[in-house]
Amino acid sequence: MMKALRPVVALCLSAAAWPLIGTALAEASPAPPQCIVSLSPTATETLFAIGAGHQVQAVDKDSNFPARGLPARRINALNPSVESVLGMCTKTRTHRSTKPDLVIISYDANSIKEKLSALGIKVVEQDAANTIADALAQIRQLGALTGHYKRAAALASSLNRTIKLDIASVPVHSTQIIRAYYELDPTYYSLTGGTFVGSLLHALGVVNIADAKSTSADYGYPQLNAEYVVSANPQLVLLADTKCCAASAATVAARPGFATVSAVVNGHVVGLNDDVASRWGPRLGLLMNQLTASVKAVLADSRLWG
Amino acid sequence: MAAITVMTLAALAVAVVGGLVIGPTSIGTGRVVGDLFSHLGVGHTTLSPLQSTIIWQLRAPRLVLGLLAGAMLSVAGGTYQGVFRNPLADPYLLGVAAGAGLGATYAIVDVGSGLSTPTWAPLLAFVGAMAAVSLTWLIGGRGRRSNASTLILAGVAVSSLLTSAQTFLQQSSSNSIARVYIWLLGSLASASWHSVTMVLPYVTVCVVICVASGRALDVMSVGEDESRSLGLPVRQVRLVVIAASSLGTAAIVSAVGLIGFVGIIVPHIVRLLVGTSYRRILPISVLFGAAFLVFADTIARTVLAPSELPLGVVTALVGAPVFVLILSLRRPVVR
Repeated sequence: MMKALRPVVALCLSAAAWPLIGTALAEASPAPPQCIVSLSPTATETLFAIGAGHQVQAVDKDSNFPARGLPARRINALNPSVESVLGMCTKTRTHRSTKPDLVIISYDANSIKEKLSALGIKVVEQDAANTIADALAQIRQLGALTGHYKRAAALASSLNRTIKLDIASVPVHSTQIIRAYYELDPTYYSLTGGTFVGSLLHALGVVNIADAKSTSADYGYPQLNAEYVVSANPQLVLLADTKCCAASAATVAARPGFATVSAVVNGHVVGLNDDVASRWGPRLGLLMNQLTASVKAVLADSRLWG
Repeated sequence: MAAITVMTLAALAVAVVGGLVIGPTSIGTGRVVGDLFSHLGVGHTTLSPLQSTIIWQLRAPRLVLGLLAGAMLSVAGGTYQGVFRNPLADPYLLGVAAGAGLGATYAIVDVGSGLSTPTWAPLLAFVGAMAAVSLTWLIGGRGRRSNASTLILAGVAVSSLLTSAQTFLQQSSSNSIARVYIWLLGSLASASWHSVTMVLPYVTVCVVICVASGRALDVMSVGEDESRSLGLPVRQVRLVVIAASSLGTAAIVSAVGLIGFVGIIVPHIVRLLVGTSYRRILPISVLFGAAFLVFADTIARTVLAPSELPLGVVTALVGAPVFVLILSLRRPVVR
C-alpha cells in the first residue's frame, strides 16, 4: 500500500507538481472566499497582484502595498484578537456574516490559527520563504485558495523567469569576487547566504561578509559591528534600512571609519526599499533586478579590478 | 583614601589601554601604544591606514563616550542616593529613563511624524528625559510640604505613566520593536567624535556641580530639618543637585540609550571602599564608574564578536555578582 502511494507523495512534494495540484484545488474548492483577512504584508501584495484584492476586507497594520485599494480595516498582527477578526467583514447578499472565509497569517501570534479554526474559519499560515521555490509556491497556493490560480501561476512563472534571466546576465569571473555587506538595520544586523535574500546574492556570485561570522544561534541573521564591517572592506553595501532608519549612502559615509570602505569610496552603497527587500511576494522581481544591477555595476567598475 | 585613588586611577588606565587594544580586529598592543606615542611626537606609527581608522575612528570615540557615560551615571547615582538619603536611588529615579525611552521610541517608531532618523532619536530622548524630570519636580518638588519622599513618589508616578505610553507606541509597530529594544538596553556602538562633542559640555559641567555638592550632601545626611537648622538651604541644594544630575544623565542617555545598574552599583561599591562621606564618594565614583563602564563595554563588544551584547546586560551580569560579593564581606551604610 505504502509502496503504491510513494509516486503520489513524491508528485505532491515536487515543485513541478504545483500546476497540477493548484488546478485540482481550484476545481475542487467551493465558491471562492468573499471575505479574506490578510495578516501578512507579503500575502496582501500577492492577493492584489493576482486579482483577489476585491476579496480582501481587512489587513495587518504593516500591509502598505499596493498604494491604492487597501481596506481601511486594520489588525495588529503582533497581537491579534479573535473577536476583532470575526467582525472584519461586511455583510452582503453573497456573504451573510461578518466572519471571514479565509485568514492568511505569516506567524501564529496568540495561537490565532487554532482559535479561528475552532470557529470554522479557514486559516492558512505562510511562513517566511526560505527559497525561491517556497516563495513561488506560496503565490500559487494563494491563487488556488482564492479562485485566481491562472493569474497566480502566471505571476510565479514570470518571477521565476526574471530571476533566472538576472542570474544568467551576470558575467562569471573567477578573479572578480565581490564582497558584499547587506544591512538590515543600523545596529549592523545582517543576513547570510542561508536566508532567502542571501541565497539571491549567492546566486549572483557574491561573497557575503556575514557568512564567516554566522553561528547556528543567529538563524542566518547575525549581528556584526562597525569594526568588522570596516575591516572586511566590502566592495558592495546593500541597505535594507532606508525606510525604517533613513540609511543612505550619505549616512553610511558619515559613520566613523566608513569613509575608507571600498563601497563608500567607489560609490557602490545601494539603498533598497525595506519592504521590497523583506517580502517574498510579487515585487521579488524588482528586488532581484536591483541586486543584479548593483552587482553588475561593481563588476564593471574598472577602479576595482584594473 | 590616597591608596584607593591610586588604585582607581590604575584601573582607569588599564581600562583605557584595554579599550583601545582589544577588539574584533587583532592589533598588537605595542603597535597601538607606539601609535599613541607617535601622536605625542615620540617615534612613528607602524599601523596601516585601516588599523589607524579602527583605532581612532571606531575604538577611541567609543572609549571616550564610555568614560563620560560611566562617570556621569555613577556620580549622578551617588548624588541621588545622597539627596534622597535612599540606597535604592539611581539616576533614573525621577523619570529620566521613562521620558527618554518615550522620546526615543516616538522617533524610532515614526508615528507618521517623519522623525525616524538617527538625528531625532537622541534629541527626542533628551527632550523626553528633561520633560519627565520637570514634570516630576512640578508634581512633587514644589510647595511647603514637599520633601524627598514626595519627589520619589512623583517620580514613580511619572515613570509609570510614560512607560505605559512608551510600551503602547512600541507595540504599535512590529517593524521597529527590535530597534526600540536595542535602544532601551543601551549601547556604545554608535559612538562617534560627534556624539562625544555633543555630550562633553553637559557632562563636564554636571560632574563638576555634582562633585562640588559633596559637602552639602554630607550635611543633608543628618536629615532635612537638622540641615535647615544648620543653615543649609535644603530646597535650593536639592534643586541644583537634581538638575545637574538629571541634565547630565539625559545627555548621556540620549547618546547611548539606557544603561542600567552603573548608577546604583558604583556609588555603593565606592562607599564600601572609602566610607560614607560624599566628599570622597563622588570624585572616586567618577573615576571608578568611568573605568567600570569601559571594562563592561570591552566585554560587550568582544565576547561574541563581531556581535555585541547589550551593554546594560553586561553591566548587570558583571556588576551584580561583584556587588553581592562586596555586600557579603561588609554591610554598606547609607546615610
